[in-house]
Amino acid sequence: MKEIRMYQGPGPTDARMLDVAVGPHSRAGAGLAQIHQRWVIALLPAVAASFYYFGFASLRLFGLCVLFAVAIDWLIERMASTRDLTSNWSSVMYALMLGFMLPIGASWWLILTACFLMVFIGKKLFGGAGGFPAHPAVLSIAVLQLSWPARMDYTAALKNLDWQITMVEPLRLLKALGASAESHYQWTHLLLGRQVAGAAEGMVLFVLIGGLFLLALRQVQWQVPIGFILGLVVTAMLLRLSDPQAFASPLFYLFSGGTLFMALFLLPDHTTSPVNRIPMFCYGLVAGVLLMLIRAYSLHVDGIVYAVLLANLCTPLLDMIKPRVKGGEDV
Amino acid sequence: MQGLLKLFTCRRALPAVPDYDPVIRELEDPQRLVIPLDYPKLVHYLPTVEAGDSVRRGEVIGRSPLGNCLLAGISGKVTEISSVWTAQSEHSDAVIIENDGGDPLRADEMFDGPVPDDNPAAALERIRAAGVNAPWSMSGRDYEAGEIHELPPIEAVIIAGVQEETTILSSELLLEQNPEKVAEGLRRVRLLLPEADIWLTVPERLHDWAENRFAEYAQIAPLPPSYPERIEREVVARLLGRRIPNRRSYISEGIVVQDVENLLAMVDALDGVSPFVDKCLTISGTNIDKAVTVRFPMGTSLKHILDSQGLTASDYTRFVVGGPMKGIAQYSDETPLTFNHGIYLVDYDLAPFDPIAPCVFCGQCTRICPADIQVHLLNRMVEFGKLESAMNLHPEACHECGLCAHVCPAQRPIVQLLHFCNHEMTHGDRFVWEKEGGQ
Repeated sequence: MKEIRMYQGPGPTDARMLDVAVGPHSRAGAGLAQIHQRWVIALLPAVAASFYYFGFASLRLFGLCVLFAVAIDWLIERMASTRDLTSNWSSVMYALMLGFMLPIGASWWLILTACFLMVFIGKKLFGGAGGFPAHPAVLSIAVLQLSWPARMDYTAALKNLDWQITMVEPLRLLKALGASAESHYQWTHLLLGRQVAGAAEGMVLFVLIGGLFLLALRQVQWQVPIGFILGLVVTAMLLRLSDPQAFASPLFYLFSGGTLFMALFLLPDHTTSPVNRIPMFCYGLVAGVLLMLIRAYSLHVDGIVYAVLLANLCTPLLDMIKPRVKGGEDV
Repeated sequence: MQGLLKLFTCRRALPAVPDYDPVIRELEDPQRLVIPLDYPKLVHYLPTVEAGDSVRRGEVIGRSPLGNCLLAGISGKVTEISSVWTAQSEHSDAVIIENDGGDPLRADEMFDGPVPDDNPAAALERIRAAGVNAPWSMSGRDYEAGEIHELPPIEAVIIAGVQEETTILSSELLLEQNPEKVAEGLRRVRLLLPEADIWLTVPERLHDWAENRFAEYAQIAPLPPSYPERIEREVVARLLGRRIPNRRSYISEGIVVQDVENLLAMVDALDGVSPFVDKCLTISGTNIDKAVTVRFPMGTSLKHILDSQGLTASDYTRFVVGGPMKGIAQYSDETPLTFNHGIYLVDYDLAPFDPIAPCVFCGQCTRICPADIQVHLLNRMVEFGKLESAMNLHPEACHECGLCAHVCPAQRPIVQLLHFCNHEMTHGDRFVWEKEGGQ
């Protein structure tokens, strides 16, 4: 082999200082932890509202959720190391989302089970953050609702509370009484979160504040919530036209239960939502229609978990609607 | 605290056009020039001097098989002909000249007056002799096979008055400061290539100004000051109305993309004024308030250019030759600079890409990709070695513009993953690229 004689210059001034990393040398991203921290911040207004309404019980619920989720995440990382590090805050974010949908005052073992289902089954088994096909927190709640329906009953969890409102889930009453149930609730109560729902999912206004924060930071693309709301409202209007006695107005569906929480947090989750623009819109639309159909024709009261899971499964299919690669055909 | 604030800001900004000093500064002659001979995919020179020879500024030191010349930028003594790493991280032979303060070649010693308009053959000869690497005077990749390829006739000439990287301002400044010369150059190109379409890209702020001056010689294409709008392959596709596949060079498709600086050098050469030995370059960076543009003899080391502007090398962590998006970080400040348009200095600890961060499918890369590649799928497929599946997603359309890696929140080296995929497809022994349905 020919020996290459290299030019021996006077030598660099201070070679120690130079960094030869690959480009681009301008970066907007700042690590996975940052995006998860942003989602956590967006979840905080609703958590704070929950704390205002429920006091220590809410703090206990969210605290236990985060504690268990991070601990399980850390333990699994110790046992079977993956690239999904505990330090990327994903388990904190999902733990808070889980807490949103658990009934206030859930027993510690229920929370532990939920966190185990979420972190181990929902997240780690699929390869950690970025690998799962369905939202882990929603998956966990779905399993809990099927396994312990009585313990996941929001109405029962809040029965000791002394609120001057109808202490039944709006959608449950709607199922029982038909459209007349709407008159039992006040809009302001629904908006401010004075309704029977999970620990924080019903805090409509506060969820909206967090969601707008995410929209402003482009963590959530507008296509998903807008498509979802469009699908939901149109389906609800059609249903109401078909049978005004049985179905409430579209806005009632929008503001009761975790609908807005689903629109702004559960559906647009990075991993489980499509990435192209048209598929994102279709995904929202599909989820909205599914949610209304589940609420109208199934036995479930608030069908957000099933709507989210079904929409998540559509994601890879929807993402096949993609723009043509420019300059890719003629090579 | 600052980290906390960052959580609330939407920092997606690409490097913008910096504040700049419009004066092009002249440099003192450096002590030593290191002039690489090999310019991959462009031209390969063979040295015509030997160690120990004395050369004068403007004298020929290298010649390509087609007669293109490489000229010395300073007068001095050739100390050796050796190997260097160029700024493009290519290994190349180089001529090393030590400055002895001798006189440069005078214009009348080099050229015999202006070339008349009606003599294209003499004009071509002059362009080659003056060291102006006009692509219509050279062949593509002649050095690889050792033979000269026939090239298609030139259909379109695009003179770039705007560099794709927003931090590089040398072309804009030259265009703005030499309108008569640019007009003369465009007229000359029209004479040399009467059949070709000629375009001139200008920054948006100079649109009307350029329309008034150059509209009779060329079509004006204004470009906004944003990197995604300026990516060269995209601009060319937009102007021509057809796409040049990334793996084809422009010249093999009969298209020429030239910097305005080359045009000016061509005018100087044809008028018999000066050879092309000096190059302009913009220095910008993360803590440089005003970007400065300097003119230096080709082959000057990075260190000399920084020293001359009072910049201390140890203040910076990265010397990037080129712009922030496509530039290459240098391992040494002794790197010789030749046909480089800019230097970008980074003064803080920019984290290297995180090779283990998982992709969370946020899809920012796919939404920003100018070629509409499904980057979020591709980079994972490459990561897990699924190159057969990756092929179906057309990675060959990637311009390596760096936008995907710029926005990636997980800081994955996406450009490198796609580059690897393309490299495997074209050169790898595991997979052989076939046209669709060509098997």
